[in-house]
Amino acid sequence: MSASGPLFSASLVLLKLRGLRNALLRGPKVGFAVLALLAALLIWAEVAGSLRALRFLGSFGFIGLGVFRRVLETGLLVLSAGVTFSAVTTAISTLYLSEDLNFLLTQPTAAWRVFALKVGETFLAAALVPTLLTLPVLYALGVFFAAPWWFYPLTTLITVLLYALPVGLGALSAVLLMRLSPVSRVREVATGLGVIISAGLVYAVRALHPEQLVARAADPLQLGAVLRELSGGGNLAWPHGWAAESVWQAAHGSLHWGVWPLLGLSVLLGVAAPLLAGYAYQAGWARNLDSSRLRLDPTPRRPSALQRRLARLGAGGLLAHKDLTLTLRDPTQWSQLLVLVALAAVYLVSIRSLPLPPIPGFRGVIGYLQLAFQGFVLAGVGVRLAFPALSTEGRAYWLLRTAPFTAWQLVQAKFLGLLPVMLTLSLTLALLSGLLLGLGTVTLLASVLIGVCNALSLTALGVGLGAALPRFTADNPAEIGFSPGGLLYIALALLLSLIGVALLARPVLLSVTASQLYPGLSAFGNAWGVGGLLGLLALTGLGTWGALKWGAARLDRLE
Amino acid sequence: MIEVQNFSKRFGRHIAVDALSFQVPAGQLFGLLGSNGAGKTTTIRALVGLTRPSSGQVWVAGFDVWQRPIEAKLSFGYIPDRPHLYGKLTGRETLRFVAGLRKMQGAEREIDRWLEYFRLSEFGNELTETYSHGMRQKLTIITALLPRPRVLIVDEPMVGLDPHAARQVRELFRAHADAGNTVLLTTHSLPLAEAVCDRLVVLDRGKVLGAGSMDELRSQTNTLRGGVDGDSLERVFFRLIEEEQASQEEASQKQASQKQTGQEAAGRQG
Repeated sequence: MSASGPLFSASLVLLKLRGLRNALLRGPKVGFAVLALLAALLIWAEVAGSLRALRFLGSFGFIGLGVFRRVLETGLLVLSAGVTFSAVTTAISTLYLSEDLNFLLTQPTAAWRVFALKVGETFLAAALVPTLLTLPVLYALGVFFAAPWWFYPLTTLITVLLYALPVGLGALSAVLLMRLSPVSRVREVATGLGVIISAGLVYAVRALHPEQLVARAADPLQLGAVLRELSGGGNLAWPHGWAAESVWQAAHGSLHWGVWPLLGLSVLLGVAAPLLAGYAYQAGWARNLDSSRLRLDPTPRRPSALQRRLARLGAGGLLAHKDLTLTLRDPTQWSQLLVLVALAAVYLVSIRSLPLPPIPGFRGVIGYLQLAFQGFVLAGVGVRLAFPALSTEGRAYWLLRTAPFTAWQLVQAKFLGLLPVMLTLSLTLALLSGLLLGLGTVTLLASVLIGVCNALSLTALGVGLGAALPRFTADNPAEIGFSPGGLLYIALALLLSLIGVALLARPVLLSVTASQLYPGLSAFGNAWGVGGLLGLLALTGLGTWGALKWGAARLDRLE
Repeated sequence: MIEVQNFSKRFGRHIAVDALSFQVPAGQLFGLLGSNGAGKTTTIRALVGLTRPSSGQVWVAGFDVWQRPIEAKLSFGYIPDRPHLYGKLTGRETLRFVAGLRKMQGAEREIDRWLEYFRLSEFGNELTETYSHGMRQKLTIITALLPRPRVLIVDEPMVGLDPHAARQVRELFRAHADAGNTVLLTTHSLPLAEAVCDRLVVLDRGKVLGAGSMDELRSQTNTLRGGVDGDSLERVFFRLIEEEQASQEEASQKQASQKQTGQEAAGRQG
C-alpha cells in the first residue's frame, strides 16, 4: 500500500484531470465560447476598473491609496467569509456524499489520501470562483505599482492560502460535526454554523464603517486621525488583514511577515483535515449523516389545510406546495432564504448610514441611482432562488416530465410560486430605502415601479434561464448559482435592471432638479415620462414573457 | 395501445435505435429484450416523452407522444429503471402529489391500499430518503399504478426487489394486462420475460433481431421443443445474438475481400 500510495494519489488527480478534459472536449462548444467571452469581459472589466480606480485615488496621494487598501481588505474579508459560509456544507457533500467516494475508499490506498483529494475538491467547489475574481484585481495592483516579477506568483499563493483557510476549517468542522452534532441533525447544525458566520460577516462589514470614514474625512477636526489611520497598516489580527498587507507590501517590493502565519495555518488545516477525515472514516463517525430518524407509524397522515387549498389551484398549486415543503425541510435550501434576509439587511443598514448632505435634489438623485444597486441585490437573491428553481427538482425531474402538463405550464408554475417572495423583497427594498432617504413622490413612485418590474423580469429571467440550463445533478443548491448559467443570469439581470433605471431617469431628474416646473407627478406626463413608462412596460413584458417562453422551449427539448 | 413506427434515435454519429417498429394491442404484455446498449431504454424514454425521436413516430393510447403529450401522458404510467424520488417528501406525500397531478378522485383510499399491498404502511409517513432501494422501487411502482393507467411502461422493474415483492410485481403486471390494459416492459431477466410476456422483441445495437410470441421466436430460430438447442427464451435469445454476430462477421469478411480485390486490381493497373 505504502509504495502504491503516492502513485495512486497522482493517478487520482490525473483521473480528475482526464474527466475535466473529457467534459471540455465533449461539452457544448458554443456554451464554452460564450462562457470564455464572459470571463474575458469580466477580467477586462476588473483590471480596467481597478487601474482606473487606482489612478483616480492615486491623484489624492496616500489618502486615496489608503482608501483602496481599505476596500481591498474589506473585499478579501467579504469573500473569505463567503467561502467559509459555503465551505461547511460543501465539505459535507464532498467528504461524505460524493458518488465516487465508495469506489475510491475500496481501492488499496490510505483513506487520508482519498480525503486529501476531497478537501481539494471542496476548495474547487467553494473557493475557485472567489480566487478567480480576486486575482485580476491584485494583478492590476501589481501593474499599477510596477511590482517585481515575484509579486505575481506570491500574490497567487497568498490568494489560494487565504481561501484555503476557510476551506480547511470547513472540512475540519464537517468532520467534527459528524461526531458532535445531534444524531441526524448534521446538515441543520452545519447550516446554523453558516448562518452564524454570515451574521459575523454582516457585523464585520458594518464594523469597518466605510461611510463613516468618508464622513470623518470631511470633518476638519477628525481629518488628522483619519490620515493616521489610512497611512498605518491594516487590520493585522485576522487572515484577510495579513493577506491584504502582504499583497500591498509585495506590490511595493518588500516581503511582509503576514505570509508566514497564512502559510502555516493553511498547511496545518490542509494536512489536519484529511488526516482527521481519514481517522473519522476508520472510526465510523458518519453516524450523524442520516438526515432523519425513523418514527414508524402506520396511521395515515392526511393532507394539511394548506395543501388542500393549494391543490384546488391545480398543478401549479400542487407544485407550489411541493416546493415549499421541500424548501422548508432541506437546510441547504432554506439557508438560501437566510442569505436573502442577510443581503437585504446589509443593504438597508448601509442605506440608512449613507452620509448624504441635506440637499433634497442630491438626496433625490442618489436615492434614485441606488435602485441600480437594488437590482444587484435582487439579482443576488434571484441567482439563489429563481435560477435553481428547476435544477432543485434533481433526479426526480422525470416525475414532472412524464406528468400530464407541458414544460410551459411547469415554468409558469415555478415563476408564480417564486414571484411573491421576489416581489415582497423588491418592494420592501424600494419602499424602505425610499423612506429612509426621504425621497420625493416621483422618485418614490419610480422606485416602486422599477421594484415591481425588476421582480417580474428578474424572477422570469432566473426561472427561464434555469429551465434552459438546468443542473439536475447538483448536490447543493448553493453551487447551482456558480455555474456558467448562474453567472450569465447575474450579468443579464444587472443589465435589465440598469436599463429599467435608465428609462425612468429623465422624469425623475426633472422632478428633482426642476421641481417648480414639474410639480406632483407631472414629470411623468411629458414625452420623456410617457416614453420611459412605456419603455419600462415593454422591457418588463418582453423580459418576463420572453425569458419564460425561451426557458420552456429549451426545457421541452431537453433529453 | 402502443405503436412505434420507424422509430430511430441518433446521438451524434451513434445510432441508438434504427427504424424500430412494433405494435402492442390492448390486453397484451409485451417484452423488449436485449443486451446492454441494445436501445431498450431509449425506446422506452421516447414512449414516455423523455427522449425525442430523431425520426419516426411513437403513439400511446392513440396519441402521438410528441404531438399530443398531455393526452398521451394521462394514459400511461411509467416505472423508470432507477427510482429517483423527492427525498424530502414522505412516501404518502409523493403519492398524493402524483395523484393530484393526474386529478385522481378518491386518492387517499387508494394510496392506503397500495401502501398496504407492498407492506409500506408503516413507512408511509417517512421521508423517502430513509427508504432502501427496494422500498423506493416499490413506491415508484405505486406512482405508476395508482392512477390506473390504460398503458403501463416499465423499464427494468425487478432491480432491488425482494423475492416476495418480485412475485407480487410479476402478478400485478400480468393482471393489469389481463384486465384489458397494455403493458410494455424491458428486462434483462429472460425467465421473467418468458414467464409473463405474450409477445417479445429482441433488440441488439438498435436493430430488431426477432419479434413475435415465444412459439414464433422458437420457429424463427429453429429452437423448437426437441430442437438442437432446447426451447427456453435464453436459448432463443443467444441464438438470435449468435446469428447476428455471424452475419456481421460474414459482411465484414466480404467487405475486406472486396477491398483486397480492388487493391490488387489497382496494383495490376499501376
